[in-house]
Amino acid sequence: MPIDDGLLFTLSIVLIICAVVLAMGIVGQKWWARRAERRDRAVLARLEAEYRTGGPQFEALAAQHRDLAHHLLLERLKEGDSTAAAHLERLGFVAAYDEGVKNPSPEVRASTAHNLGLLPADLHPERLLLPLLQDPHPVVREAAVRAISTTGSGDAVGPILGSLASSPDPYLYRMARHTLTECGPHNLPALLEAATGGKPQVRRLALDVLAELNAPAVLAPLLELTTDPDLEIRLRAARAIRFYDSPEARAALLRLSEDPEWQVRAQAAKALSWVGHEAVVERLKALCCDRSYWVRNNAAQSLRFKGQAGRQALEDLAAGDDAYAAERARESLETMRREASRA
Amino acid sequence: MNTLRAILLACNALAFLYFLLYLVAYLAQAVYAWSDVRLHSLRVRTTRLNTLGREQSGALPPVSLLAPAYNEGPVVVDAVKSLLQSTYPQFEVILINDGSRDDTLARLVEAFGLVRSTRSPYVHIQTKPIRGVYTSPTCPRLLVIDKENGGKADALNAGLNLARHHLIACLDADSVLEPDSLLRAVRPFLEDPSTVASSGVVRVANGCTVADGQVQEVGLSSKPVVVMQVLEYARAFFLNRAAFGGVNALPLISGAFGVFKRELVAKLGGMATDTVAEDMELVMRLHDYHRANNLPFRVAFVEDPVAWTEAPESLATLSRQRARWHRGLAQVLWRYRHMLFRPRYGALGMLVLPFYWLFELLEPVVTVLGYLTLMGSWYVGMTGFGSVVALFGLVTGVNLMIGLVALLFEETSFGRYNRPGEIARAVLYTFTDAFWYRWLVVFWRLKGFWQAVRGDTHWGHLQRTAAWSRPAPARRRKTTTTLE
Repeated sequence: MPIDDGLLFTLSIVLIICAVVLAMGIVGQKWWARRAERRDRAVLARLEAEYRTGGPQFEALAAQHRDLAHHLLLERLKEGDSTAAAHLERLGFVAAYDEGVKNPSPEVRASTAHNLGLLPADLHPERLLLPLLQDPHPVVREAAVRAISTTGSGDAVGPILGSLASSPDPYLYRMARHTLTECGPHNLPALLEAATGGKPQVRRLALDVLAELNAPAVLAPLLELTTDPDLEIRLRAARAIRFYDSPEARAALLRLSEDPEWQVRAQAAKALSWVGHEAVVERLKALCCDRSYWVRNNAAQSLRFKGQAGRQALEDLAAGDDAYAAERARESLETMRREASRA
Repeated sequence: MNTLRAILLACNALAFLYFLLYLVAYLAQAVYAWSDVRLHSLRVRTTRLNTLGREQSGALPPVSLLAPAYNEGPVVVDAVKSLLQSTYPQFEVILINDGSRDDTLARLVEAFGLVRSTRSPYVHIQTKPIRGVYTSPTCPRLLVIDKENGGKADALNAGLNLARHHLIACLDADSVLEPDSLLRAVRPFLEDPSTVASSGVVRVANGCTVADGQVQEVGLSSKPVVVMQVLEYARAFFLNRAAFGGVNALPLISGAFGVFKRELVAKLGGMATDTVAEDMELVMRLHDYHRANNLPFRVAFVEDPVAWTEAPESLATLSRQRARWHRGLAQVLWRYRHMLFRPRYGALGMLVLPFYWLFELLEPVVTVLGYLTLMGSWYVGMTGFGSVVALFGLVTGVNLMIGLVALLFEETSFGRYNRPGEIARAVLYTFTDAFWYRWLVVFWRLKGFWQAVRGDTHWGHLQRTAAWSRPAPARRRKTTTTLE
């Protein structure tokens, strides 16, 4: 053999010893975790009892078992118990968050952000949350954006949009959308400015949020965006103007329903279900014969909400020559029948 | 005699080199998978996934779940109920009865009051004739296709033809999905629009308490052969796939749970019916198509979406399954051999496929030949018995460490098994692997390798016991609902 037997033996023994140590570590860790879990459950029950009865022992006990007390108080905060915030402050947890957001571990920073989101507005959690929007770790940024959604502060709109401009993280985008919908009503000008200029992902986000907010002041800029060269902007604009049942919005939607891109036509077909006008029924009927499945599907679904005229259009389509349109129409009619029998 | 000695010496040297490469490959995977698994588990802990579905229900793409079934009568109703319980906002379940000879269809008709449907196909991939399409008036999300038997791939193609949503999830009919599995598996499609497929983790349901189509309590089976499979799954998912997924070179998405873009699968001609590894073949085709055309794409691996599946409990069934898997692996690797060592195929062509050729496909052959030449060397007096024992100890030690590291990843990241006794048992069985299970697997894989060489494409069938379809008992200790 080219290799010394003694070396092989030594290596084998070392490996097997390492394996035994690792195995003991895995089992020991599980056993220890289980034991700690039982002990924690007992302490938590005592803490909870003291907290509920307002017992004098609570703070002394909490000082001994800080992690568990912290957990308990956060749970209470989630349930809307405002006295828990006072306890958090008195026990020094709120001050500890200042250190938590600077911790080198992303796990600690992310969970601090999550906890900050539970604090009431009078403790100004956004003071610590806003800088976390620029954190290098994506999970921390996501946690910060989520946490801000509960504070609902208009000051957060600008930093969130800025954070997305510097880091086009798709998941952050989703989170930011939800958060801005919560904070947006307090800062519409910032959203409008973002929707009309800047980086594409920021424009799309701002439009998504404006679509949710349905604020009357933003219709004019939204109508302008329906002619934007960016497909994503046009389809978002179609979605955003669906609530405005005005002649301008209707005309824009009818124009978008003839867009060369199927995604925009599909979105317009869906949005037209909100617009009540007879011209819309004819247009939707024509869209049921579109070459794209989603346009046909959305148009047939929208016709369900057009009363007798819509039903008649669906019946005509179901009996017509276009097999694809007929199939979608039949399904819509079937849905209408099911809804009627349920009613 | 000198020639024989020279040959044996060369073989021993090659076997040792192979072993060193194997060690390096797994070490690299462990390092890469560790960071990936940790990042993912951090994300899971800090994300309120349960609310994600509600918050973003409008943004989540609808999914068609395709579940082919062949002679699954005893389990099919519970399996469909399990799929229907998903918390995902918009989905449909398409169960494809692939010409079952038992009462699969009758049970479905009875349980869900199926009636004929007029739904017409959206794409037209050639399949065996469709006998009927059914919907349920009480369960509008369910569609059942009854067709002539054509194999799993053919059944999936029939489902693909009628699927109406942009994403399809391919499942086994007996897969038990966790309520938020789909939500997690779809996440890569939200994060990155170039994602074309996403794979979830599949776990062994034997030993778990299953009631009302859901895993109520996770447990480890008492059968050694099942425990060994649990360890194998941990190794496959938390080492191999986590590492390969991280470099966008995942060559395989388990047939038990994978999500794909429907249009793309249809455009590529659907599932291949001429292989027994249609799941791996499809993923390789996706890589081949995108790399050859320089298109951006991502095949994602997500560590926490879980589909529970019934693992074989008898050696005979397991033997057939493993031989079939190896046969399928050989077929697919041979079909896509043009990707091997081609830089345009990235990490897949340069690292992952060579790994699969060397340490998966050829592993049983090299193992047997390696030990034979070692024994031959000992027989002709070239090496002492001590060397044989030392080498066996070294190989065992390395495999043991790999198994334990996979278990450690699982434990520290997701920790599904709650009882310390179960973990202790899993660890104990890891130590026995080198003495029995590994050799059985080597033998079954050799059988599969030989079948592939002969050109056998027969599927075979896994007998379902339906033990987990019984109602949950009041007391867990005396349960009969476990998959034992």
